[in-house]
Amino acid sequence: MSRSLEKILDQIFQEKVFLSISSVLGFLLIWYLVTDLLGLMPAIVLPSPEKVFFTIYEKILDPVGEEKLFGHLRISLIRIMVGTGIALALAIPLGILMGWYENLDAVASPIIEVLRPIPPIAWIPLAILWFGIGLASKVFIICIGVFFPTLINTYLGVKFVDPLLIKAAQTLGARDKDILWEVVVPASVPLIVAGMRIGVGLGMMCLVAAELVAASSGLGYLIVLGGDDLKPELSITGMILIGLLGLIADRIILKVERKVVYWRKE
Amino acid sequence: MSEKKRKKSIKRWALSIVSVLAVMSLWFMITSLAKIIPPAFLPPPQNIVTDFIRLMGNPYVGNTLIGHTLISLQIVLGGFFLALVIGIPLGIIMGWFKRIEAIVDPLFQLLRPIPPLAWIPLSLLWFGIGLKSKIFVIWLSAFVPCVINSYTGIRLTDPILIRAALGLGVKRQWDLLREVAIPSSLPIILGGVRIGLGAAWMTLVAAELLASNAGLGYMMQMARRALEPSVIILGMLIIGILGALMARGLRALEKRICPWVVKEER
Repeated sequence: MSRSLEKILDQIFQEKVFLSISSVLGFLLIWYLVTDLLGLMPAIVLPSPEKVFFTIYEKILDPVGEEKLFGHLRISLIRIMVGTGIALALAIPLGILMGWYENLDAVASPIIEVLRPIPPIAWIPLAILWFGIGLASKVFIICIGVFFPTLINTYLGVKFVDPLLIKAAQTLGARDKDILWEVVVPASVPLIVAGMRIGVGLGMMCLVAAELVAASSGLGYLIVLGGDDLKPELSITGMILIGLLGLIADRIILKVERKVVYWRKE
Repeated sequence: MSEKKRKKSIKRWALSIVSVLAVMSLWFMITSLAKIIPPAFLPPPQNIVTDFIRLMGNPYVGNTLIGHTLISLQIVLGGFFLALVIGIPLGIIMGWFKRIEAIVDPLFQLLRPIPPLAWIPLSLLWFGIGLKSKIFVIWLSAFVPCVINSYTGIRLTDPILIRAALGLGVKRQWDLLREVAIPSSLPIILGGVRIGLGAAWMTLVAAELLASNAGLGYMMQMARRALEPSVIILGMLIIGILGALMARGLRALEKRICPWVVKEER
């Protein structure tokens, strides 16, 4: 019985892998067909896949604007890392304190509730006005993007700690401060990390938006330059790299989560 | 106990009001009274009110405030509804039929890490600067969460429910999907709709900042060039308020459509 079930599962799995691979290949084939072979799409509307491939190869060697491809990647990476770092350093402690001390919660909540519904991207014009078009304005936007989801999740994580845990610690004679650091903070780590994940995803969007609107370097700049110069292959190159960057960032956070929240096995 | 609770809530309100008043008066002091910060950098709060009144009556860069708002709303809602209409059925189908999932999912995973904002330059190249290009990117940004959540929701249908329905004599797949899987996954689907709405707003702002000739984002971008931060802040507030209102509306709708979830949350 179980053996035949295994066989069926095996078959389904193999069929699934087959369908998945043929789907990606089919996608590339259609792309190739409409652009290169049949020429249904002019190259300034949709470049062929191999043109994109060669553009990537070419731009690794030749500069676009001031930087080569990896130079732009490095600049974007610095922006997102600085912005995320500052946002996490502010949001996590503030979230923990707001979740724990009700007076602070009452003071800070109304201000946060006013600012939170404003999409971080809507801060771009003000950020440019305040900080110019350099690193500072991008870091500021990314910071806002990462800050709010992390803050809210940290706050909720602290608020939703099982009261039984707190009571148990109290019965065992722990002081308030110890309960916060030994019980509440560790128990809320899963939600904090979940917030970080949402925040970094949003931060990537903010990075792209900020670089699209005003920048002379970075992956977002490549994307917008490709549009302006009628070189969509350059835009697609930038989009691929941004996608990869986001994927890698997400994987790293997941890895960190598994390391930190080792007691939670799925 | 209830007396204690009441006192606590009064104290909370008092602290909140004091906090908001303190921020407002600090803002007023440094900009208007002491004039430490010039109004081209941070305008005094009353300027935002006077600008609001001015822009309600007189057009600013082509439209009155209401005109810009209506244009933005039209684009957001257009893209958002298209995303619902296409995304939710696609997600449901992907969740229900394993083969379709095997075909569509890999393509989806390939395109998903690219932030929808990054499509803006390509979209401009494809559809021009008008309405179509913006609706396309907004559709894309709301489409992805709609599909993912609908798909996840169907996937997470409790197998016991399905077996119970089968045991009670449900024969057709369609009935099973319509009567069991879809209703049980509604909360998750609606969660996706809410995420999609937030993403749609963000993308709208970015698209209008980047290339537009009307709408709230355009108004803010023009105000930045004219060094009128009060108009920028006005735009941010309107975008924030509209976004919050629409999220509220969706919440209310959620309570209507699946009241059982709300009960569980209590």
